[in-house]
Amino acid sequence: MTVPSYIFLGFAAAVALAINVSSKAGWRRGVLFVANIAFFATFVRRPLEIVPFGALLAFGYAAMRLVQARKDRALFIVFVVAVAVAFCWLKRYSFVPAELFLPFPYVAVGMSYVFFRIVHLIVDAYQGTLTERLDPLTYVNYTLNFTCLVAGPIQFYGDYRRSEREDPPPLTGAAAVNGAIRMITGMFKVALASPALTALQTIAVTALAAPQDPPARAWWAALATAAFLVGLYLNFSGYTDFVIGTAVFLRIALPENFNQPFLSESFIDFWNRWHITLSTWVKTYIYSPVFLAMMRRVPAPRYQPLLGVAAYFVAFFFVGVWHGQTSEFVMLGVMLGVGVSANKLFQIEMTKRLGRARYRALCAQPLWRATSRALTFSWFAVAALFFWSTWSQLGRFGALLGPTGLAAYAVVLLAGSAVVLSAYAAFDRAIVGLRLDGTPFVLSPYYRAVCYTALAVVVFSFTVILNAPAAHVVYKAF
Amino acid sequence: MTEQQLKRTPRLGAASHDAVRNGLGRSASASRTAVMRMTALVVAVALLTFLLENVLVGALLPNLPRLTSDFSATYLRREMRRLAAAPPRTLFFGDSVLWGYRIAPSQTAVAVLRAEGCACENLSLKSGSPPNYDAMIRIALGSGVRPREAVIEINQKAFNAADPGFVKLHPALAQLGVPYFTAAERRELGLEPGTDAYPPAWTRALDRLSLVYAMRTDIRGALYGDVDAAPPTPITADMLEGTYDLSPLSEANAGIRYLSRAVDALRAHGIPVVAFLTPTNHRLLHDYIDVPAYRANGAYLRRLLERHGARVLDLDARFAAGEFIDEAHLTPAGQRHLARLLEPLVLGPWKRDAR
Repeated sequence: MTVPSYIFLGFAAAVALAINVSSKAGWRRGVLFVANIAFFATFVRRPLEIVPFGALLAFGYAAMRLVQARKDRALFIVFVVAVAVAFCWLKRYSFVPAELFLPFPYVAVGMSYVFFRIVHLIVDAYQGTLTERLDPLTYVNYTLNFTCLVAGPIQFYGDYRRSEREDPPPLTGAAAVNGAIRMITGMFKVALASPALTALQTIAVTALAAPQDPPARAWWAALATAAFLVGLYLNFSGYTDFVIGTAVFLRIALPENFNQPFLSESFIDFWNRWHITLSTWVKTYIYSPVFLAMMRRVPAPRYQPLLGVAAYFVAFFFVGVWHGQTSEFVMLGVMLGVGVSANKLFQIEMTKRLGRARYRALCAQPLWRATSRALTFSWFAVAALFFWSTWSQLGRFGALLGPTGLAAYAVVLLAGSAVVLSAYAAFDRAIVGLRLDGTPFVLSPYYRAVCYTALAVVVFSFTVILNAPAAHVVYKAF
Repeated sequence: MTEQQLKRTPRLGAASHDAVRNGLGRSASASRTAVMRMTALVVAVALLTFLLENVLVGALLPNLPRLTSDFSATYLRREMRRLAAAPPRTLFFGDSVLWGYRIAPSQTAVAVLRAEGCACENLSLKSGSPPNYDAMIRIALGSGVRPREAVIEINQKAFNAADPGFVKLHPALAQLGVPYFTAAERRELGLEPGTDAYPPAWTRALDRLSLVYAMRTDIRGALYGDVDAAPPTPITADMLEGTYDLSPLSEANAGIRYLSRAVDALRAHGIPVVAFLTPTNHRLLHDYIDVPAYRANGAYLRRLLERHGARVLDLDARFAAGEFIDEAHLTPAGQRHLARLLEPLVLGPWKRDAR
């Protein structure tokens, strides 16, 4: 079943109707269990296809329970490593010998996100944060939650538990309106806006390959680079909007995954706004343990900032590598790791030289902010080249531009993003600053009614009347 | 206020909304009024957006480079109005060869001629056949379209009862062409109410109500293009067995009847007709068509067309195998070759006019 789609919408509507029949926790859990299994089953064509995923889930459950019961460090490490190895093997990472791969097709949809949840449970079980003994039904409901199975967001168990039985958010009229608005926005982003950006990227890539003057080439290259990233944002954040909106009707509060990432003024801040649940997971389960481990080995306080930089690199290198199974993604990891750690080093150095107050004052300067936004955007956009291109394509890209062209490309990308993002930030401030009867205009029920009704009609016309192909979500591949 | 804050603070919106929904601090009737006002606003905005979409489609979708595979009746009606208002010099009616199967619209022979200055319009269909030409020509004439000449492509394949377009009309032509056919022809072409080709009343009502709905296939064509995505599969001769019915053609053949009628209709309006026999890949089809029966049918078609007042150009064996993408469709080079062959017939008088 494709998410987002009208079939998924119908499925979610049926589940929402069933789940709201009774407010008893047992009923909710039972309905969710049936819905989760039914949704997962839509990806299965033959029973054998479910075996590897099922085995990973079962192994994860057993590991969590054993670690929770014994609290044994060696056992804990063995299980975490085993789950990670099983994940890499099942996801067919290129460093695993191909002969070892299973010789039949199997379901892997959402496996990465399930992997994050399993590791989270095992770690929390070992650390004692997970006090409850999870029964299999709760475990399946949490790991296979159909609203966020395909591409997240990655929800921590405590938050999920509160939604599932302790304190499900009420489904009031206002909540339903908000949920519907998120779904409409999500569909618009995924079905209309993101494909438009993809089309723009295709036009730019095609033009880049055609005979061009060097300045025109630099312009097309910058446009292709930026269009992919904006398209990816619209695609992924649109999907997230849609599932968060859907979950509202099931009275499940899913975590936010995006917060205007392109307005970030540093690469570290960017990761507080882009794929928030992944970066939170990475900071919790990779950055912190690595940092603590290094601090234990090098306890001198003067090295602490540098250890933080190194831990940042490791954590965000993992983020890059997680995205794919080939060597291009290793480079993506290096780019992300370098981006975050260089940003941290720069912050440390500037604070040392200027002092905290002066550095903060500098960061508040409009020109500094615009430059920082442009640098952040451009660095991530260039890193994302390794996400959507192969080495040979990148080689051709470099050859087409040449050294001068590459320099012009960097200038165009930086200057262009500085101008566009500054305009966007100003527009955002102006819109949010608009007030009606003391209420922000964008939150006025009348504005929302007008804006989202129009959007809903456009999305409906486009997707249903024009028989638009099912929206493709990039992150479902991970 | 950040995006996340906005998302996470539906409190304000929620509060306002709850106030509207529940009438906090208001009387029950005030609350009812607020809900009704909000409902009216939503309905009004939906209708306005719907209207605006239709206006935009009307303004932004004037005409496509060629008819898409599943063009709509509404689009064809608009095209006919346009052609009636600004009559083209030459109208082309053909099948997938002239339509440009597997090539871009700009690479077709008609596009080549247009680029050279001919006021040509291509009304070819991806799946053309004599009944479809007849319907298209009658709709055009009925809409007041008066070209200075018409060019019709004649493909022997289309006179085979096994051909998909033998007595089957394109849905848009079926919808608009009904008044031009007799009861017997409507039965023959499956245009009787209740059959698939005859759209039910509610579809027509929706078509009238919404341009976006009526022209959905054309918008789709404009957005996604109409290029055949899959690469052409290599065609072998055995795959084409039965494509050509070599029984002697006669007036009893439905295709012959519709073709004769189409040419007569054009001639009756004083429009000169040029007909050309479709370029055919003889190397591939040698076993089936390099036989006396095929040649006899070709001669029959030439005589028939000349008898009905058309000038005939026999291009059947004038193209090399390398000029075909597959069994019957021309490469861009083949289309340029076709344009050069048509030019003396079609453009000759135009060039004289220009002088």
